[in-house]
Amino acid sequence: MTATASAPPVSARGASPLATIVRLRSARIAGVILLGVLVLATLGPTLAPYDPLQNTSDILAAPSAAHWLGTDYLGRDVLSRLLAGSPVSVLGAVQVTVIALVVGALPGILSVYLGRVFEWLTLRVVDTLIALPFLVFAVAMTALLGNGITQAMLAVGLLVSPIFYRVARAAALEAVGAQYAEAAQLAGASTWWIVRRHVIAKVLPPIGVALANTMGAGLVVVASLTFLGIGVQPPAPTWGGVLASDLGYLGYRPYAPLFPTVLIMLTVWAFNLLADAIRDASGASGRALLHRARGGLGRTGTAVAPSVPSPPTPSERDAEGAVCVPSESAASEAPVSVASASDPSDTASERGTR
Amino acid sequence: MSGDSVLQVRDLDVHLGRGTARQHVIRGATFRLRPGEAVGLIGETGSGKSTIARAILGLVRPSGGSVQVDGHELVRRSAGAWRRLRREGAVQYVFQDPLRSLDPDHRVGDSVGEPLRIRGVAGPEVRERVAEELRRVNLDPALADRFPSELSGGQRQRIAIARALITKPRVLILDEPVSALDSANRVAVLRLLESLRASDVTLLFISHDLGSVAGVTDRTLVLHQGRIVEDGPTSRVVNAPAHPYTRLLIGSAPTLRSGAIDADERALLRAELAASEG
Repeated sequence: MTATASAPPVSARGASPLATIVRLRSARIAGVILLGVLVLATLGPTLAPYDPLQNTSDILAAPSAAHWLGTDYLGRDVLSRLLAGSPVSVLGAVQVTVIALVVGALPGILSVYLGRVFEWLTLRVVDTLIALPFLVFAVAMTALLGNGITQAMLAVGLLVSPIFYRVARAAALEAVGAQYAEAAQLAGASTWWIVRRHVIAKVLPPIGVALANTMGAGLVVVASLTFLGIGVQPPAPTWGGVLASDLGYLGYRPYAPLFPTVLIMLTVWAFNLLADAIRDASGASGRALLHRARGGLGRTGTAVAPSVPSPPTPSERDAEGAVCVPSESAASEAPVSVASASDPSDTASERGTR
Repeated sequence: MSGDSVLQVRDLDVHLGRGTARQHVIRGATFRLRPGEAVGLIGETGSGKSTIARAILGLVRPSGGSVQVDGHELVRRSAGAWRRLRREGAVQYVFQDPLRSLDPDHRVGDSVGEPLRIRGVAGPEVRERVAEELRRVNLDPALADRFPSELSGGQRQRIAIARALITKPRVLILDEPVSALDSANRVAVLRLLESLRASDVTLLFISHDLGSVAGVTDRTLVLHQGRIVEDGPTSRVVNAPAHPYTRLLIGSAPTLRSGAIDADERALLRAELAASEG
């Protein structure tokens, strides 16, 4: 049974984006994993059974009842270090994403509205950011601003922001130039109305996808930087830092790098899964999902509503292949019946070009 | 018919593009629509049909001339004045492609009712009026809960027309309303337009296809390279076109009249047309 078929049918009107997204099995799996990560990020240090900085003589111990994941080269409990390192690792990714979102998405949307000068300037800044070498820039920023996780994340967030700028700008450009936005304008809608009713709904899903992807990528970046000792220096615990110290003692504990690696990979995987789910639940695919759910027929659903699309009326069926003049009075004045294949403008315009 | 005009366009000039790419798209267009009249505006692709409509609606700023609705000048209005005018809904527009002119994320009812919501009309009244307009365009009011992607092309175009009618406009401009539709849906929409003529709405029906326009209009304007080259009763324009371009346009449709033109006559008309353009 598919996830969509097992989900309860939704009412015709009650279909919030959230309701649509939880219908996807991938979103539910991602949600469970990310809930676990959230618990680690908020309660990790208090859950740690030992002091993550406490050295003991029991070095490089194998997993046991006392130390579930063993101890590292200074005799520190690995589980405690992973738990205590969770906030820094996850919050680092959040910082990257929030900075990238604010620095990227907002100017991306505004570039469509604030005129050519702003558009030109922001586009050039984005081009420049894309051209900067990633790690070198992060190292230089921490050298300039001090070796802290926030400084490092500021650098990374700036470098990632072009993704948000482009995604937001592309979605906004499409929605602003769309005929439905023009139709609203012709009905007297203000710019704010058009943005609120038409543009935001088009911009948010791609930004949501980029957000989830960036969280995953940000986590890898934080892990990489802390692995290199940039942003957070030993002995402060981080997922990347634990991995780095474990890699030095592969001869003693060859399995040890698996613990931080699995944690990092699982979290990144969940974020990517969430990104896929957001994409599937938004736009045309989201409507198709809703469509199937409403029919209550799962993936093979065909009969959605008896009236949609309505069968052609007998008169419409009669008209197949030719355009009849609907007005009898007009027809008597101008006896016009044009076969649908003959289009005067085609030939006329063809001539006009000669 | 009274001499009053609901829409009067005088010496309308529109330039598009900037610098060296600047083009004179509409050249001194002058015409008027009388109340309740249905007028066709025909011309080939690129002749400026849609630009005239967009200039009337204020989506394009004319470089000269005048556009008046019920005697009120529209050219050179401020953005705020345009917004107020548009909320009154006196002139409405139906786009060529209903799939693009209806927000794919909005239910049909929300799209049709949007002009009223913009005016601040309350929800229950909007729903009532939406149902009323859907019935008027021969659609089941239950379709209000559907998304545009769930409907056929003809249903979508009727929904776009319902959205335009909900403000009870004086003038309805339809830009190629049937050219994106298959023949069956085309007939359904043309029948609907024909039924609209019974109401007091004035129609400006833009098309490249004289066949579509002829059946539902009283009068036809022919646009060629930004100039209105012919303006007369539809039957006269179809049966006795005065301008060589109109003759070419009509002669190109073999089933339009019994007297379809042959190659020699076509060459002759082309030469005549070239001479008339200097």
